[in-house]
Amino acid sequence: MFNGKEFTMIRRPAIAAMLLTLSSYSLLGYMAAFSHKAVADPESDRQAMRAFYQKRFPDIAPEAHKDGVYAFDENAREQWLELEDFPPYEIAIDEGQELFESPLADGSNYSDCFGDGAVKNQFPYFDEQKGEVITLELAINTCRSQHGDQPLPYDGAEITRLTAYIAFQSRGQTIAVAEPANEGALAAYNDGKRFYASRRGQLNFACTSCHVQLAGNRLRAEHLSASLGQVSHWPAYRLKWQDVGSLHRRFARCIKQVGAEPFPAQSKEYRNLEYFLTYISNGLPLNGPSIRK
Amino acid sequence: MKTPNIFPAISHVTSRIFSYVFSYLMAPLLAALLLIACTDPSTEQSTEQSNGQNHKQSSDKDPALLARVALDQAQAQYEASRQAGYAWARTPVLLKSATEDFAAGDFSGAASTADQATRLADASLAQAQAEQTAWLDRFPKTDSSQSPLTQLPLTTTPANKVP
Amino acid sequence: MKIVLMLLAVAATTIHPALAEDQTPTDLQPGKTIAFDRNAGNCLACHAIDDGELPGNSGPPLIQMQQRFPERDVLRKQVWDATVRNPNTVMPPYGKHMILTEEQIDQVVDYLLTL
Repeated sequence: MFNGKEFTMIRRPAIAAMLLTLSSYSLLGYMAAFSHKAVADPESDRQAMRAFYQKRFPDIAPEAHKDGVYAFDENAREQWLELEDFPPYEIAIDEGQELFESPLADGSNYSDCFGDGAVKNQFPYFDEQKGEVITLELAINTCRSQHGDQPLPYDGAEITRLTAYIAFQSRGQTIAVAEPANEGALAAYNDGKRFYASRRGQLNFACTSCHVQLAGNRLRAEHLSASLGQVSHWPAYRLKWQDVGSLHRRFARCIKQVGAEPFPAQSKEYRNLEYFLTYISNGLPLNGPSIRK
Repeated sequence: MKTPNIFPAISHVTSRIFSYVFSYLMAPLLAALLLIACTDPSTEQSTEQSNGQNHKQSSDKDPALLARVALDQAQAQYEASRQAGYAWARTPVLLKSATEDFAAGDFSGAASTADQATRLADASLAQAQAEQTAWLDRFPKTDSSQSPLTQLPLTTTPANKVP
Repeated sequence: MKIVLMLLAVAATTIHPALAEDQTPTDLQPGKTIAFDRNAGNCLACHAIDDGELPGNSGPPLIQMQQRFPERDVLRKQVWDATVRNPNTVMPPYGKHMILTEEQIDQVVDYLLTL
């Protein structure tokens, strides 16, 4: 009964829906390209964000947001500082160091690419030749392939241990992402900015809903952090995870929480988001790895 | 004002059109042509007519066919929402459940769950469309008088105290 | 928190429609449960409500609802899609995005109007 003509007929509504969708998306692409022209330049964005949080938290210097909610939630800050006495991320740093110093396939090791590991403030950056944002994680895998090794999975334990060690070695450096200077870099920055401000998921939240509009307020008992400093302290040992995890794993959690499908770690979406968020945090100290609830 | 470059969007879309057109349109059409070619020419017309009527009747009445249509539509809309980067987590859960209902022979259950998935995917696509411009208002501006954010209440209250 | 998944799971279950007229406190219980439950309406995440423990403070406290919403329909529309009245609101559109069923929204609204 299921001959070819029936097949065609059954699929007809699906085809119509698809063509409709396709045509509407070419229009969306047009609108997105157009709307980028109304976007302020990155440095104005950064200044506006700093001014906004300074007005909202008059007693807190923008740099203090490196501690997230512990910058303004005093009760939670005390508990957090107690945890820092015996930090649960220490093992990850040690294991990371071991991996960092172990030989890669060709006998060299990561120091060939990253020196003593104090390189976190060099990431992320926009690679004009490759036309994409390069994060520390991408650079680690590039280093591996240069030395004849297989890339590490981005959601695995090994890469997070390496970044924990590199973050530790880079403590005290200042975030200093170069201002997006060419068209590609600006497009990546604006893409990350758009992602941060777009409502998504069934609950219809944008990142800005909680971290700009409601920053400092509470959901139940939990305070909402400011956008400044959201990237300064990764990877973090989350009590919820009982493990160190990456910034992109945290992105995915947030996106799931608003009822949307998350993107994979190191997807273009997340790298552009990291690029935008790190740029607006320029001037803040790097203080990873850290502990978070 | 310069003309915005829409070619990246078009080239991206073009590749999708090719794949969809081929898998959904060309392949079945080729199969149909093959069938017609194999049919005895003298009975071709009447066969086609009665086939057409059968389609109409069966798609009106056959619950399996209706469920199949609903499932295909839900799948297509879900894929579209993924392509847009706005898929909702609930949609594939419903799709899976509808597919399981279908496999278990519960065609009306499958159709209604699939329709639910389609409605969610449609809503997420509407969200994607609205967000193409809406996001621009969600940042503090250098000139704070222009920002709708300044009109929002800053209801900071001390930690862990009920207001 | 697995708010969303659980919320959606609950949203998917069918709950008998509440009778809008002729209400007793037992009739209001489903609405209160939805409002408090992290897995359903989770109104407490943002709003102080009644005897709810550790409410958030991201939305206004839900008090004097009868005075603030003399017309039931205005409150119902607010729960269904609050972005109509205020495009910048953070409140999820419970009806428009099918987070709660129409019946659940009625139950929540009935409960909220007693606050």
